[in-house]
Amino acid sequence: MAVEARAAAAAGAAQTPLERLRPFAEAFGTLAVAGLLLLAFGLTSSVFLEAANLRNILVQITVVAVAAIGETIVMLAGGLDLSVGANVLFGSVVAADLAVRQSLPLWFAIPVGIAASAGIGLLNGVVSAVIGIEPILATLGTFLVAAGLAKIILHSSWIVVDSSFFADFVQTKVFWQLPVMVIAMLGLYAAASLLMRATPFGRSIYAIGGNPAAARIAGLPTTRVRIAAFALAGAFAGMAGVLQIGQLGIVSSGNTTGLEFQAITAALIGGLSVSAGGVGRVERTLLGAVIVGMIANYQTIRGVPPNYQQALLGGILLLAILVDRLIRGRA
Amino acid sequence: MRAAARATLDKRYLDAWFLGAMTVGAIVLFRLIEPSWLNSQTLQSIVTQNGPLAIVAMAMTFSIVSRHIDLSPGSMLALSGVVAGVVYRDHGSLALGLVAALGICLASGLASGIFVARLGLNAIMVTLATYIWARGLALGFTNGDPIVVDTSLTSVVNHTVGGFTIVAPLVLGVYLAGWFTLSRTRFGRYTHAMGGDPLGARRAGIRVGLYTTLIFVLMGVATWLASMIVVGQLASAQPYAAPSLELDAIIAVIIGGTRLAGGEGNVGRTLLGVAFISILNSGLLNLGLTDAYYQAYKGAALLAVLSAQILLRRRIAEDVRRRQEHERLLAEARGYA
Amino acid sequence: MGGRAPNPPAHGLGTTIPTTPQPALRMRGISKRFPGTLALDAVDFEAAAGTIHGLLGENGAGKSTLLKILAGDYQASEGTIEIAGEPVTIASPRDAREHGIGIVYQELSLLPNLTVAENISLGIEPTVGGRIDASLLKRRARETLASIGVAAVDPERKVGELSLAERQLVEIARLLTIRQPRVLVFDEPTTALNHHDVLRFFSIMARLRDDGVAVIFVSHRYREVLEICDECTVLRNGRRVGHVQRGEASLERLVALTLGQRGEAAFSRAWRAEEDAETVLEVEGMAVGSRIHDVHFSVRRGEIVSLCGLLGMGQTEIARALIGDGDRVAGSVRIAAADGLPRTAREALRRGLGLIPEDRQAEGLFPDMSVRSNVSISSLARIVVAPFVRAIEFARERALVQGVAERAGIAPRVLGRPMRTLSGGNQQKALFARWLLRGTRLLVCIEPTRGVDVGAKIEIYRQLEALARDGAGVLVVSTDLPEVLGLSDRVLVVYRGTITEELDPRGTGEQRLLLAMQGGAVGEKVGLVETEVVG
Repeated sequence: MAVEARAAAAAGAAQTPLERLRPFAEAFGTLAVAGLLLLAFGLTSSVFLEAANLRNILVQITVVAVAAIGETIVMLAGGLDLSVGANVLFGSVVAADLAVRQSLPLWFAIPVGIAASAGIGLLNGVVSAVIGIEPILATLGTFLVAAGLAKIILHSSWIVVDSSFFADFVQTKVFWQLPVMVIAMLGLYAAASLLMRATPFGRSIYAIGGNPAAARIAGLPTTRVRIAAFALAGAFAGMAGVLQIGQLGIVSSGNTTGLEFQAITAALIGGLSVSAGGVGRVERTLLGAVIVGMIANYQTIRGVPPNYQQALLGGILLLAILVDRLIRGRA
Repeated sequence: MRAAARATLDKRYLDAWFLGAMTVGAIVLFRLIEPSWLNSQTLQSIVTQNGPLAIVAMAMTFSIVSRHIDLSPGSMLALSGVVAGVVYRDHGSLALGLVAALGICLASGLASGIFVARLGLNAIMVTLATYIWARGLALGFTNGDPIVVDTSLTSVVNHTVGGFTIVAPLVLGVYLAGWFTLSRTRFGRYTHAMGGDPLGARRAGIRVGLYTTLIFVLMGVATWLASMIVVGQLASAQPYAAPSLELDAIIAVIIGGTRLAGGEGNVGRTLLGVAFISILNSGLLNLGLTDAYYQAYKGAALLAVLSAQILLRRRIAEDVRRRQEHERLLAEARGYA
Repeated sequence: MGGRAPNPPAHGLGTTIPTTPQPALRMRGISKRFPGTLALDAVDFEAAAGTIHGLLGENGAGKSTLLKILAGDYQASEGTIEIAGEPVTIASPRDAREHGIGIVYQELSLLPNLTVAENISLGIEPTVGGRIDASLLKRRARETLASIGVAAVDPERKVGELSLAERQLVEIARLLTIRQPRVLVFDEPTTALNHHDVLRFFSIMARLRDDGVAVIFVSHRYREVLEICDECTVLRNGRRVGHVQRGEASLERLVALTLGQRGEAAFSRAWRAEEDAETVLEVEGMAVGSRIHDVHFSVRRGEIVSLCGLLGMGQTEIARALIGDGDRVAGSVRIAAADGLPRTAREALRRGLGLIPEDRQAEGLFPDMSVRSNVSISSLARIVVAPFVRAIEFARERALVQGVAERAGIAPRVLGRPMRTLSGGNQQKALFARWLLRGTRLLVCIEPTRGVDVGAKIEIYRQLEALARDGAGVLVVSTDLPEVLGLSDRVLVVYRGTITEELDPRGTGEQRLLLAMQGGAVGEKVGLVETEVVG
């Protein structure tokens, strides 16, 4: 006991320079990257730093960023949600259908749309936490179900939403000339950040994601929290869907292709990990989305064809993963 | 002892029997609704259409058994076809294009393997990046438009023997090779070992890095094969091809009974999974259901099958445990006698 | 006495082990220095071919260091090693293998989802043109298993389905297949085996001995050592303190050698509970699975009760069953006037139980969360603002956590740091603080000072005493003798799945306690005659 324990204690005390760098890298790394990019892009393009352009970036990323809030919460709890994209579509379809085709008042249509997405999220939670199917597979299944249901409601068509309320999302400017939807996104991030930092639920998520066995022994209601995380992700997807109606003015089945992967990418660039939960912050996902948005925007300014932009995004994701691994060590 | 072994065997295959039953049930159901559905022609088209899925699913079996998930096949298939198309367009030789396509598939697989095996990156994240950039490149090279190629490949791919194209024997051959490798060679057994206990496998001296990389390269080869079939069938390279091939392949493997956690599985079950999905797809399509309903049903079916698998497994595990306990008590009693 | 000349092996694999006048293994003057400590001090150890040699000693006496040197994981600072008279250098595990040294650890090296035959030949599979020769693989497995007298294990079964005892046999077979070893070491092989398996294991060790292998049996279970070993060596504090032959050994002799002269106890109780305090836990007729049976005990308020036994005797299972982790639990459990065993950890907490688990990394800590969050995680209801707005009131959290942290002896400045940066002792104190904050009727601590330095140990003991004084009951599971005797009000000895004795620590010395843990009594004669030992 004596020898082994002392050796182990000695090993624990020493820290390599890289390890000492860790808390700073985790806290400010993403911010630093965003700042650097801002600088680099701003210096090499006269258009980039124009207020209108920056505003445009924020508008472009809003839908993905809001969906990514839910994805982040699920990933923090140690899971993965592949149904987010379809869920965004589903929520927007339900809301649009109720508002336009059924001519129901907006104060009804919008909450019901969000509730519908939350319901899909609840299904995710029950299937993965209660029945025990791995989240990847469970959310794959609900992805198909949600996408299918959304398209069924659309009747292979699309819904044009011609409403000043929704149009105002993009057009009305508040605070620093930022459109309502951007303010909404920032507000949702603030709320989510508060939720994760300052509520028992948020703490429980970090605990369950960080060490599921210990969470159980500490008496946390692990099943309930996991279900709630997925349901919340669904709700955020629904909200993203509603915002998308405002942004595009039209709901069609192609609106959300690849959205879940964009959301996951934003989270990963923000420092989350697919294999381990319990580490990361919701705010950094916003930074991740902003970084992705900046890169896409800069590429457009420079005339890079949109498809190559996607290719570059994949490369950047790879880079982000590599850097994260370098700093954090083997996951 | 023998009888007990046989009983275990039966129980272990219970979920395979279940899947088989569901497949047969689906066939019966669809035939009832639409009697003309399953004739030799539709059967041929099922095989031809799902050949690429079958081949990729075979390689995905290796990935999942080794506890890695590969999200790249769909995008790589498109990119592979596009590369072949571009080379053909710029140099006039489709054969050269095929070689170039193979090259890029191998390179991507090798890179993924190195990232995962040597650098310890998570396979989902690495292949997610591939999923994104490969599709991007495919779209970028072609501006979203398909590249028409000559019919030399098409004549090979569509060449029929006894009503079936070469896709059928190709798939069969691929599965035979896969079955042989996974269950009879060292590579195959080590794949199981790595998936079941990665640290233990490394400690036992298995060259985890080498074999993991091989598995990703294998996926590259399978993707190339699949893309050649697709290009041949369409006589063109489609940058939007195979939009969710990887997910379908994963579903096929999992429905077949291989566990996502890895360590066990065989290609025969994957073939069963592919068959089920193909029948389901074809039947639903034939019912005249739009894309939407079919997607929803597919999702519901997936969830149902997965839930059933879990419930069955729990029941089996409970039975096995009870039997082991019983044996142990008997042995102890004998020990005291 | 020395070893007997090895007979030509009746069923051995490979070549007959040549007989030499030299012992199979001779380690001379082995010392091992680590920064700050001397783990081994000029230890001589000899194992003759064709014998079963027991290696005994407390945790920390140096047994595992000696083994690691033999295995090639460590290099000795001083001393020589000879195999069959030839001096050798063992610089790596591969060297050890090549010199014919095989070690079977408690954590077996088998791969659970491969079959027995595949595991036995892992890395050296017979191939025929790229494919594994399955029939040869099977035959090899069958032969090896037969050579150690095991016919019942089916080579086709997956190792994951086998019992632990069967897996051990497969591991032995694997070692034998790679290379016929001269020296085979078993590190605590019987800890998790039931009696029947132990006997079977003994017969296999005997077979190996008869084939000329020098078998080294490292064990805490002295009854078994006395039953099977031809001789044994005892280490204490890194030195060899005794070498006993078969006829000369007894439980008491081995216990005395192991413990030696004990100095002043480092910790003793400053306060004890009254006799008539109310009962907080009452267990009657508890049985868990097939290994634990007939457990009766109780814990009163203010009492510290220890469940103490050799590793694997069941004390941990009993403790964990109380928080709902038991498999098929029977019997009655009463916690503070409410009947029934908690079925989940959450329910256990609601009933007033708390658990400090044996492996804090796996089940206790949240490494990336702050120490403060780790402490408050089981008391989230106490730090929220109001029922309407369930937000955490940070000021209250800080104050409450600081309060219990002071009581637990944690410096306030570490409260904001990630848990993983704390030392083992501080981590354990933080876990303790968690339960202080939550408030428990009964705190169950399993190995509370494992991996904790001496200073922090004493602090933790004081905290447990303070907790008892505040009216809680404490149930400690431990294999650390001074800890058990210094800390407890009552000591319950667990042997072979049931409580065999209750001792008053004030009248019991370590030797008496260890003897009881070994299932023995004062004056009992064990080991002279090969009789069936009834525990």
